[in-house]
Amino acid sequence: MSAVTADAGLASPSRLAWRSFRRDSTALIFCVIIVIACAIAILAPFIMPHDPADADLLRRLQPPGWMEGGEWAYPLGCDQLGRDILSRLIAGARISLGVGFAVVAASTAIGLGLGVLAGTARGALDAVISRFADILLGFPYLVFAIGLMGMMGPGLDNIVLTLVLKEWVVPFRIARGETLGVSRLDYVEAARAVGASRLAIMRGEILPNILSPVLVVATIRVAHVIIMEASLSFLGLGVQPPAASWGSMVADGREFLADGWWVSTAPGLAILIVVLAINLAGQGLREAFDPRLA
Amino acid sequence: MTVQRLVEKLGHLLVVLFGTSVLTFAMTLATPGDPVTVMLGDQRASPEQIASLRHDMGLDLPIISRFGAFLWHAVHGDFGRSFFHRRPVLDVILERLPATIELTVAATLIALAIGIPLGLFAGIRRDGVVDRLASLGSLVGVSVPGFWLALLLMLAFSVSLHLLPVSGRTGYGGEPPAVTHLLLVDSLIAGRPDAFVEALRHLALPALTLALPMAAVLMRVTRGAVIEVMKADYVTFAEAKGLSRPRILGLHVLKNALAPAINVAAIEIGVLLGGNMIVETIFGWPGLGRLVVEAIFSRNYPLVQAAVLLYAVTFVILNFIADALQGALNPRLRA
Amino acid sequence: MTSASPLLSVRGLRTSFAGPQGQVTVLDGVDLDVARGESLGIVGESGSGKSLMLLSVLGLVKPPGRVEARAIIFDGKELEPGSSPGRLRAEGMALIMQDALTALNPSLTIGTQIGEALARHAGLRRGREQRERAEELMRLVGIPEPARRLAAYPHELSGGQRQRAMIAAALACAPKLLVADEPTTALDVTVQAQVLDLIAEMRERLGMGLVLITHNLGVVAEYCERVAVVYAGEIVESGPAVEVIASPRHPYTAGLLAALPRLDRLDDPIAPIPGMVPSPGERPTGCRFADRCALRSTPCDLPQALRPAGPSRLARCHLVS
Repeated sequence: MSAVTADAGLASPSRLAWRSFRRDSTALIFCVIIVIACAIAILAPFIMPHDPADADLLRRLQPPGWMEGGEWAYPLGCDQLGRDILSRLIAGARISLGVGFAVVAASTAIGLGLGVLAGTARGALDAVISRFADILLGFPYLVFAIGLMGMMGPGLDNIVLTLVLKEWVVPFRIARGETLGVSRLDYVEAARAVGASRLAIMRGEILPNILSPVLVVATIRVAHVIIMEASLSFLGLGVQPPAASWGSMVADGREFLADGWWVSTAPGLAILIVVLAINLAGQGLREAFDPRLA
Repeated sequence: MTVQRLVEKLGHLLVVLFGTSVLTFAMTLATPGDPVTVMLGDQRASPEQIASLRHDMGLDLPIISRFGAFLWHAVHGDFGRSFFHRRPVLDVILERLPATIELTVAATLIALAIGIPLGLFAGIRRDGVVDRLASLGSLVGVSVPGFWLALLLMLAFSVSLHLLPVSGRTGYGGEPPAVTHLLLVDSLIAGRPDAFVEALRHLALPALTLALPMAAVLMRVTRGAVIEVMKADYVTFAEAKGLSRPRILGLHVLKNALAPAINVAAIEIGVLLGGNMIVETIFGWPGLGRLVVEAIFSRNYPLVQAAVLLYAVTFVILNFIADALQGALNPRLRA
Repeated sequence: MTSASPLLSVRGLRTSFAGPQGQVTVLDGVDLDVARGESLGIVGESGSGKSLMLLSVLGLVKPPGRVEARAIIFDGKELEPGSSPGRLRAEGMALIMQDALTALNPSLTIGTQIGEALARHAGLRRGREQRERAEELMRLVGIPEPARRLAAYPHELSGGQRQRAMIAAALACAPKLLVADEPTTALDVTVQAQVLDLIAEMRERLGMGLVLITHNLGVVAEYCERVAVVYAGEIVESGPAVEVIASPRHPYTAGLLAALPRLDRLDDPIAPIPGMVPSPGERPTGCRFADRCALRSTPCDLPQALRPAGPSRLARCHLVS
């Protein structure tokens, strides 16, 4: 936080909010779930019980371990090509979660940078970027994503590009709004009066204060991006075989709802759990930072 | 609303519509490679034929001219021809539009009917049984991926219980004569209750799939608004006047709590516009959404472009209407 | 006072709130009397419980708040202490709030908000009758062009007119007792006097009892016949307003009066009362004012009861006798 308040020993509102969040035990549980999911994604190659691409038609549509006809070696059952669903689930975590975090990281960085730029530069530059952001915002999300993916063609990098293009607007608006608000505050005026360069002001005074609201929103956006990627992959516009994300796994199981409901259910449930955990943790974060919204 | 403000807002609307069309046009520039070659696919064509096709489609012109031509034609309703369907794109779209409208309207009505009353009840009796259940349910509702929800519902009602059909819009009974092209309405007009029931049975699952997440969001927003409103002084004053509880809740609270809900509803309909692409694909619903997905896989760019433009413009206009409605609900905004 | 039965009689009013650490009692056994046509001023600092007293009687305290009382008798009828303003309680008591901008619903016209009170209390449900009576009320409170104002929304009126409109809505309830909760705090000084004069005039015209809740002793001196001084959830002194202000019998009242800057002694330093009001959870067992009292002595460690301090005067201090 800015030098003045740190020296005075006063806790800034952000620090108090983090402390209150840490004390919220239910929100912490969801954070733990998220951390576990991330760990699974990162450690994927080491914890998969089987090779996700290993197809054995003898195990075609084998039920999960607790059902009749299933074995515990393949706890979540097998898909229509006899591949172990649990292993595919773990491998898919890499893509589903990876895209989520990558998109939000990139879009937050871009949005933050552009937001602070627009907020400090103002004038024509601000007007142009803001107008562009407004138009992007006014485009229905999935329509934009499907339309653009439809034009560009499927693939993981295209998905990341498309989603970043839609996502940067959210942190941009927050960063710009906060920058405009903050730069009118007295201590920024003081810094300017002392002759600090614009960059120094941005780094020292503006950035620390807009970081918190931007980060809080960013965590919640991860959930949204995960669902977007899954939806695109479900339609076949995302990752292409043999790679699989949770979304495409659900699509795979579509035809087998009657004889093999577990093929679609496992990945769908995985998405639900992760997204739910993120949303609940995000709600806890929001409550800690602004209890009025609870 | 004053005339001046209306004109201002209309001006803003036109700017956004223009920007939207620019963006839609720009999207088509993202195709890798040459659109004509891609569209032709495996079909063999001589370089002269390709060049002539490119000329027909105006692809040899500079980008600005292409955009100008696109805009000009779009305003006149000419979106080119769909090679796949051998008909003008607009015709194909208009043919499939009623099905999507029927689905979207049904989903919106269901979402409003479930979400807003639940939110009201939960907000009024905060922390009661209904509130806790509804809050939990709504959290799941906004977290569940729509396509998975569709499959779950299909699994439950069609595959397991055999209550509702798996796909399609009509059964074997034959369709009523087309007046509005909305099956529910047409079957009532023609006095065909059997067709009405059949249409309803087919509409149920897709509409529910789209409606539930939207209902979840509406419930949360309404609940929050009601809680805020009930803390207000004017509620205390109304109680002090001795007004009956139904009047306080139904008039004083509702009028102020509905405004944010309407705003959100408009945004959520935008989500529906995208969501129905997925839902129509899953349930084999013969609407615009499924058409777009098919068009993407058959590289039918003109059609994709036209549909995207239509969706985007609809969303912009919807938001404009919601914005205007805000003024009707909250007199302070009219000044 | 007189032998006629009081308009409002409250005995043993107890209001508590469920907090994170258990039930917190804010008002602890308050007794209150308002005679017919009398004006009673209730004076206290913010947080003293002065507003809560009347809100409890009016039945406007909602969970997690809880209201209990040995007796609440209004106009001869016994009322149930509870959280919902029963139809009975609404009959005859009306409330005016501090800020008319928040007390009036921003999305409903003035006409609607006065009209619904008329419908409820005067049985005027039909358009024209209701409208005419509403216009009458508007004229009564001094709002020009009543017909136009009825169709307006609260934010379209000036602050003073809004306050008058709120008073009109309260009068539409045909009250025998008017409770004004800090009716002028949100107004600027020139308008304050106008509104208070209006309330006084209405009181005389309609023969209402008035309870005026305020932190301003000057207002009490000018507009109230009797006064009750509230401190930390208790009434510490009561009696005829003029007498109490001229010669206070409780150290707190004396302190309040001494703290007022005086125009005729501008050079005197301002003398605030040292210390702070104890919050509901931290009240001492003895006299609640003892910690801040210059006259503190050993008997102050015992809880103090209200003692007679003159003709129809009471004070909660052992120094009285």
